[in-house]
Amino acid sequence: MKPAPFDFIRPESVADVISILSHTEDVKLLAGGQSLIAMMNMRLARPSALVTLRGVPGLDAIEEKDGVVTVGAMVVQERMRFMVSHRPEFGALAEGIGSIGHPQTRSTGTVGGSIAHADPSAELPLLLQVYRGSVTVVGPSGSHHMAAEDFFQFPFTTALEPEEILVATHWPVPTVSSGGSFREFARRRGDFAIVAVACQVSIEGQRLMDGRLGAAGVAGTAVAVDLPLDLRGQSLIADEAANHWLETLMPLLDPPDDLEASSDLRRTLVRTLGREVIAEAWVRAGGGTT
Amino acid sequence: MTRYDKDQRVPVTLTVNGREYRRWIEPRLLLSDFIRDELGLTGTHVGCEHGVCGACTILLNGTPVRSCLKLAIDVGNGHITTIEGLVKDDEFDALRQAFSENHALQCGFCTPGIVVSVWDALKHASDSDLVDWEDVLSGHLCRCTGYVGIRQAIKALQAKEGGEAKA
Repeated sequence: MKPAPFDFIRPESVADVISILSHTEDVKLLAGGQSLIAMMNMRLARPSALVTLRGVPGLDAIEEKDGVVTVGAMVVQERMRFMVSHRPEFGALAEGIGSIGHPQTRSTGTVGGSIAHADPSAELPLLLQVYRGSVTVVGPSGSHHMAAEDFFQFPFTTALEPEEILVATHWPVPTVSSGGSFREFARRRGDFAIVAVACQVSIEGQRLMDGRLGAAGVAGTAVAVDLPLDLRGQSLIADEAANHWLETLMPLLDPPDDLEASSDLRRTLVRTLGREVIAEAWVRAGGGTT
Repeated sequence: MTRYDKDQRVPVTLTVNGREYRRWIEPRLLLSDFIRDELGLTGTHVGCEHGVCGACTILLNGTPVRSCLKLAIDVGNGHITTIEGLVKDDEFDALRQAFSENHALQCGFCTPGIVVSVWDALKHASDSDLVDWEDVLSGHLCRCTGYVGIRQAIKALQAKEGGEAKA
């Protein structure tokens, strides 16, 4: 349970990192290490070189501008949780981050690390999709923006090219008349989610205007769908509306069948937790109940 | 930019329990092994070595982290506090007493890690910021106590602190 030997590189800038990635074979970037070092200890990963991002300037800021919160890749999860826990409009995000591991891992596990790792059952990749977030990627030809939906491709695989680095994630601030909710099912608190779901809706005069519903742990990546057009303008008091929305999500599921849970159980959990998060998001957005 | 070869011994300087240590280590040395094998501070226990059990929890720059998921080479000039460092603190006696009186341990293997987390949470606890103890204890596996004694010890400590504050 010790990592296999590796060269260790300490870059001084993002440009250094890109240069290393462009010229070194079999290299891994080390952020908080809460997944990577565990995998290396178990020898599931044995990179020949490790590049630490600790100390690289420009990766640990949280900034808000033009209705978007930008979170540097090296911001630790607990810091982001603390920031959003004082913002009701980010309710689902605060709940979701609180479900990542334990305080003892969130204290050093990073937001960028979790997004780039792209574990299909992880909370942050799901939440980035539900909040319609995006990422900034820097490579040899400069930096570019990418929507969350295009970024996650397969389990543990993103659209990052081998010589590129994710430097920040962007989280649009939901409008005032919106609300969100997050639920997760795991055998023990802090375990990998068997299923996680999240929903964000915005309403106007007790009518649904916009929304996003997603699930993790049920496909190669987290999946999310917009509010169906025919629900726009409706009031989400009836279960039928929630069920209808859920049915648009179900075709995207390809749940694994393993020792943790059968694929049937995972589908059932998406339906059950899905109805709960839709109802709660509606109420938190200011929607009434009958 | 600095590059160290995998077989190279690299000098690191870490402050552990207020004392500065300089050692030459391999890049792959885990912080938990640095603490135990290089410094001989065996109060920090190594359980699962992949971040699940929490036995190796230490304070790094004042926050609890799992030392088996950190590389000794990658914590900079970090300040580390281990269970041996807490023992030096006068207030630690109350915590030790509460754990003993409430049967908060049996075999004791998980205890150093749990004590570090509980110590930190109590330090940061205030009326306005209630500690989510489920969250704190979820980061530690204890197979002897069923957590009942640990919760009782925490309650006893909080009652004591509240009582002192009122007096």
